[in-house]
Amino acid sequence: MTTKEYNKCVELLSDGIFRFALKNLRDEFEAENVVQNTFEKLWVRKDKVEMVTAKAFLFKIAYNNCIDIIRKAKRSATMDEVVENNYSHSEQYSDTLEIVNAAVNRLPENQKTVILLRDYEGYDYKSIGEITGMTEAQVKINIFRARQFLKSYLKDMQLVI
Amino acid sequence: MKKQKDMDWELFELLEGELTAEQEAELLSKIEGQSDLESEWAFMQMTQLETPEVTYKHKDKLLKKDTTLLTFTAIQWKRVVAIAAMLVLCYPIWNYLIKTQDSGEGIVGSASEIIPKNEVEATITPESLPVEVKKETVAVVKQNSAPIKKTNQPKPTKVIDQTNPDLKTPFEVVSINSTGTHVSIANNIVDVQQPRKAMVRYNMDKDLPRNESRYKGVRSTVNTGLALLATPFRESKIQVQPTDKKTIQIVYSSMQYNATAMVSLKPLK
Repeated sequence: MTTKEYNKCVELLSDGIFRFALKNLRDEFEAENVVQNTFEKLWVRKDKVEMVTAKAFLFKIAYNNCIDIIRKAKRSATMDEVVENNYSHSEQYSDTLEIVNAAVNRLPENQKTVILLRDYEGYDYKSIGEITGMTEAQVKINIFRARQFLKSYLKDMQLVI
Repeated sequence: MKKQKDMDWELFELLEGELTAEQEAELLSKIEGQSDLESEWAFMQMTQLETPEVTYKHKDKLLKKDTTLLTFTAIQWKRVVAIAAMLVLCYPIWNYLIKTQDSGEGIVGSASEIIPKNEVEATITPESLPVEVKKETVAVVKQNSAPIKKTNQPKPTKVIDQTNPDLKTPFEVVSINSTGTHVSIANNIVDVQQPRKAMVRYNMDKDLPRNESRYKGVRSTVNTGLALLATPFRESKIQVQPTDKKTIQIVYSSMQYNATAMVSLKPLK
């Protein structure tokens, strides 16, 4: 990968990486650090990374970075403790989008990651599996569970609204 | 319950685009008209996340300067400088090599053109160069080189500074050791401790005029002889001792010619 290609990656993918990290971490500062670290790693390995595989490489690095941060902050355990449908209805939402966002934030980490990669970045199951280290079947079932959770959340919240 | 889960899975696969066109059409027709399924399908569709507009603000910090052209230019520039430096440094060596590869004939033969005429007159004694022509083969002349090359003259040096015949200053006489029977240096055969460079100069025109037919063929032989004389100077370290004599007499002969040449030898500074 040339410097020009690297810069092109920055232009095209930094927003997506930031969005992915921000959604996972819910911390803008941490998300910016993830983006910076991710692209630093790409720059260091730019001679080994082809332009066509750069996106997957970046998301994999970003994903691992997010996981590390979450584990360090002991957020992971908190997230894993979130049981489906175990949410409060105390929040006030003005529209469906806010409800969905709130629901996404309540997803377990693995489900959140796969559904973000699926819907935000349009990755297929195989690519998501390569980024997260899951099998295609695991990816699919996690996306299913995530959608089920979101659906239930939305249904309940619709009743509240 | 199982039926509900199956329906959830089917709706999920419909949303994910995992169904075939036929399955999709069949499921959609199944949904139509059933309010509970329509509601489920509506909620399922709402789970598809819309990509939010998020912009990373610090892209400029991530961008790297494309130094390809700069590097290339720098390399080119360095190469040019390196080549120029090499040329400058190598020129004296090259010049040296070119000169050392010149034949003695070239050196000696061109001497008449190098030495100003008035200065030549001061250094050459015409009477000392009686040329006696013998009708013998030229090839034998080459044999003269043998004893000269076999001399025990020390290590290579070169004949240079043809353009500096500063004849007004006192000369230093050069002696050649063991130059064999064909070449001898009158009166001054001196072993000198300090190796010096030297040049051989001889103005042939004075002694062997070009116009005189009797010297036809002699000039080249003299030149050859002088070239042979020059050889040990070029290939040997010459031991020099300063004397007050400006010239030395070198007698050389071949089976074709016998000649005596007055040659001035001057160590280079």
